[in-house]
Amino acid sequence: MLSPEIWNFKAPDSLVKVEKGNIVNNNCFNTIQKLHHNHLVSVVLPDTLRVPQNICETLKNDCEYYKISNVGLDELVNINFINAFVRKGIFISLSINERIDCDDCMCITPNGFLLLSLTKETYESLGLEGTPSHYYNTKQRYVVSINLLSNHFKPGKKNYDRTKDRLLTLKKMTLLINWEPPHLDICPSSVAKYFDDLKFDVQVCLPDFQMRTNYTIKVPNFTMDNIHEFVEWLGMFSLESDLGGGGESYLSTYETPQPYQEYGQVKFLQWRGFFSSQQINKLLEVLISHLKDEEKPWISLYVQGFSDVVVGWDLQEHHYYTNGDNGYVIVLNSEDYMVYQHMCSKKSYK
Amino acid sequence: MESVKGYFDYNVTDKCISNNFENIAKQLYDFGYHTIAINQTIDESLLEESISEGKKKKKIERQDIVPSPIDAKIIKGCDKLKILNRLTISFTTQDIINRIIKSPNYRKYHIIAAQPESQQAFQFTCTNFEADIFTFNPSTKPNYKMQRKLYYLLVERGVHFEIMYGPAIEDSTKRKNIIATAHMYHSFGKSRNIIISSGITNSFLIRNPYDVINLGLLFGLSDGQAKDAIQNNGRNVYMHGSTVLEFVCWKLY
Repeated sequence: MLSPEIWNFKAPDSLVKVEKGNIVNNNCFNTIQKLHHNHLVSVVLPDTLRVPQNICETLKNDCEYYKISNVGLDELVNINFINAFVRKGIFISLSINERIDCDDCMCITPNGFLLLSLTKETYESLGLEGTPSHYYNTKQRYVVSINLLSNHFKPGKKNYDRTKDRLLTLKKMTLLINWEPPHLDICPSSVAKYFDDLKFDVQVCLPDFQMRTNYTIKVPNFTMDNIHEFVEWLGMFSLESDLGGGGESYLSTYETPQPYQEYGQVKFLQWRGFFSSQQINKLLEVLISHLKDEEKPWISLYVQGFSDVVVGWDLQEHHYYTNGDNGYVIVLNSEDYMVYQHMCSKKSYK
Repeated sequence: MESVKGYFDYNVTDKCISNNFENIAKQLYDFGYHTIAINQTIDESLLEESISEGKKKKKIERQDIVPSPIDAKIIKGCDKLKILNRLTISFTTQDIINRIIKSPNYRKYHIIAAQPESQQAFQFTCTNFEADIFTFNPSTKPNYKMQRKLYYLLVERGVHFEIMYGPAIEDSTKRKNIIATAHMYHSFGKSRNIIISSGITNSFLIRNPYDVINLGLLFGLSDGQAKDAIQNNGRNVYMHGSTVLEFVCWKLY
């Protein structure tokens, strides 16, 4: 008789990719370009007494994003909207308060695709063509992709009229939008004005910024050999966990990996909001120039994507089984960089 | 038909209603359970007493043989929460079933669960009774013998097998029985059509859906089955429940 597994359970699947290279080649910017919807950014600066103002300001100035409540998705295929914002500059958007594994989600990618991840029932009643999700063998979820920038996608064409008509039947959603204008003399808030004129409830959201200083911290030396341990330490430090070890009363303890060095002050900066990859690019440039000006052992940048977004890395479909991880850590020193990407497993569950 | 979304929990016991239901519902909602069912159980042994008390009383009793479903109020801040009513019938002989089905209150329930307590009752559930959920009593070992054929018969008719995790947390005997039953389902039917529900009596026992998915592995489910057990299968139960009900109504009128 066949009996189930009761003892030897596997760890949840996850994918980790480590990449090393030289800063001069600028390859580390490629990774940033692959993840478009970024939620949380944190920076660790060891041995720093004063954080330069321009690092703090990079993701605070001109990084406002907007929350629009109860938008019908047909507004997003309006030709005026496409011509004014999606075609020009960089427009990204995603739905919030919807779970990618239970509800219907949407997002707009910088290359002008409107992607919908729909449950079976919604998909069947919607009547737009899509493909079954890779992650559900039983075809319980479908992805509909609409190219907003296609030359044929304009009023008068059958496809456009039908798409608009069908999107009208979808439930209204709450969206976050972020638009970077093509020229500096155009205000990024124009997109908010556009929706406000249409009598939608538009809220401006500012990224939440936090800064923390930890004193007398043991910091492991950064070498390319102990990357996993080093990234683990960064995570422990970022979450303000107990790095002291000791304490026999606890079930598990953590100790800073050897060899380590003790620094007087370690700064931790964190931004939480809705950032495009261009904004992260700017931050990385600032960090690299900061590293050149001052002698620092290393600087780390951690970026975390949204867990309920339709596409993750490289515009590939994203899902949420028991976690929706997508993010990366970049550690820089004066010459080299290391990129540590982590993403959801691509396994389809049976 | 109305669509149902989110995670499913088909077993919130009626004991929760009297003590702080609002709190429990809110907690479930925050965890992502957007469809929950309040469970009311009728036990055969209680009904038999009422019959023996005398013929005069019988008429009145017949009206109330099935308790009327608990009408839960809509809770503030949980607009999307859908609350269903579920009736669990625990029985050893099929005689009682006819009386229950005729009761006017019976049709007010969205979901019907069968809990057979004998081989005869089990046989009847597999062949004749239109239930949505097949459940068991975690405090005792099953009195019937499962067969592959009967398991598949239930699967074919769209009945789902329930495993509750709440009692498994509370008590070690119940835990043993629940795991044993879950493994029995695995051996006989490859764990097809399994739903995992809470069966909670208080708010301490509520678990996050993602914890429940992990717990599903211990019940002998595969990764996909474990997620289906609180998601897609839950939707199937709702579909099954509502269509059977419509069919019965259509037949009557």
